Amino acid sequence: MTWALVRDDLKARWRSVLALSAGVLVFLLVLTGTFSALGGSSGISQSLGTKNNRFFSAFAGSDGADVFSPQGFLAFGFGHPLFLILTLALCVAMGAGTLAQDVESGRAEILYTAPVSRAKIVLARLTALFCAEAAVLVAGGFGGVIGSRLSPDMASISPWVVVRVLAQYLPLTTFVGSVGLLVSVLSRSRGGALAATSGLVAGAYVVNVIALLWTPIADVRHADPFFYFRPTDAAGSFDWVAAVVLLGVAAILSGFAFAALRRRDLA
Amino acid sequence: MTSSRDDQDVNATSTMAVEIDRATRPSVTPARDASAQPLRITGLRKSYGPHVVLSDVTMSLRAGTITGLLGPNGAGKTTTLRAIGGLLRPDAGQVEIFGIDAGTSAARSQLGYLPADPVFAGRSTGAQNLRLLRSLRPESTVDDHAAIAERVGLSQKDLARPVHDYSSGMRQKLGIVAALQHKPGLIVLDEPANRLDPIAQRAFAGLVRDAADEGAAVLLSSHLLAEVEEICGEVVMMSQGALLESVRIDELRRRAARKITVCFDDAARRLPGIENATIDGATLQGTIPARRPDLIGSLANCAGVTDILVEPASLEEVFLRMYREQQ
Repeated sequence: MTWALVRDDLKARWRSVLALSAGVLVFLLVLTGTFSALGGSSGISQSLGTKNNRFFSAFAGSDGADVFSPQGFLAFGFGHPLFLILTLALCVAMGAGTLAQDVESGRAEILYTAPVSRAKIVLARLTALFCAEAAVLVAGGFGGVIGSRLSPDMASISPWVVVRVLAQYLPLTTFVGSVGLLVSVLSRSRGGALAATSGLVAGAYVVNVIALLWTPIADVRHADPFFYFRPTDAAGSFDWVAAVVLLGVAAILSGFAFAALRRRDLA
Repeated sequence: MTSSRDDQDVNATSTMAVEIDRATRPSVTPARDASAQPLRITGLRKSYGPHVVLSDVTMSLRAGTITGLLGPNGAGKTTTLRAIGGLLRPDAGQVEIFGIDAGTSAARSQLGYLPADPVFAGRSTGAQNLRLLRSLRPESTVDDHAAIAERVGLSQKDLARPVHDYSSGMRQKLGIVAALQHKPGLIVLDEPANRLDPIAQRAFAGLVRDAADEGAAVLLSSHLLAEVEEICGEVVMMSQGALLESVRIDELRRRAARKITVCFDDAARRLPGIENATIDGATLQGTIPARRPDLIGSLANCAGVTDILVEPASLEEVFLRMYREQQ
């Protein structure tokens, strides 16, 4: 492992990692910390309308879960579109930039003429991505735990619930990172890779939500990565099958990416 | 230096390469095969879709030589250099650095590479960028960056600044330091003197000569023909993706027509053998073809001739003539 490259990558991105971490922490802190102040389960469901539970449940990636219960609401925070955007933005940006950015900027001509294999340089980039993403998720976890302590209705929820939801979320971020990597290896420009990866991820999210709300296409969800991350379910128990499916597909995509990396031109 | 076009001629002209005992080169690491050529390219082909960029390029470099790669825009110079750097996957052919396939990291451990427009991590300082690149060569114990930086005019203060504050000339200097800091056995430079001020250009020329004196083989592409003429012992001419010729510079000059000015005591007149002649009062100007080296001696005996001035052809003239002929 070329740790110097990992440090270099993290150093170049520490500001955005810090900003995203702060954003995720504040978001979850506010969302969960105001749960009791907003009236708890009954108050929130009354103000939003109980009929909307299915709608909110779909946005949380679940089919009919009670997102207004204290534990459901806490988990909902980790499936909220804003949380997904903040956390996956880093995955998409770093994953898509893994190679395409260096090729587009011309930095590849300096880095890849060093006596280090292409795979090692890309692995270093992916390690940096993992570290950055982990930092953002840990910040989010702290936000959720601290916020839940500020809401009396959530005070009895074990911090392990947050850990379980985040652990369930990691395979999804790994999957998104692998999509970004593959697109990056197949692209010549960072902009193109970024647009393609963002489009794929956003499209998958929208399809999952629509499939949750419109039963005729419900089965489509099985082919959708967001089907394998259901935070409200994960709050109850960790879904090993979902994790293995996402990690397995991520491994296959990464395999294709590394095979393409060996063959492609870097300038 | 050999080319696929004219092996015989090349063998004759490549004898000027100074053979240096590579063992005397100070602590270049890792160890390389001393019997292998620093660079050997065989039948290199590269195309992008239907557009053929390189077609059957064959050449080699010997230790201790400085070779210029010349050609008009789009001739395939940069593509050739990138293939040597392992950045491009050839469609056919082989590129070997000290006998090892250029696509491997083992081969690149012997390579110092300067792209035409070096890009570094902008937020990091020059020193941090150099340190990062050195860390990618853990097997190399050589670190000449301070001395090289000083020679090209990059002070320690400059190296302590973030690269995004650098001028383009400073980035070029940093690229030169990055390419040479580990004392590579093969140095590949794409337009190295671009953006350098005259003082840095002179320092750069000295660095390249020193590297060659220590046994490194240097291949540089440049449009600054005066620079090539000053630094290089040999040139490789490329056009439309193919090698036209590989030849020593003095041989090239010898083969080229030379400018001649003949002064008469009275009105000038045309003389046999002088081509492109123009007369201005008592002065005749023209060119002597390379096939007539005897002409100058016979001109001296011509009646009325008071003075003869012969100028060697510059590389620029040779270059322009050669490409005009090609076209």
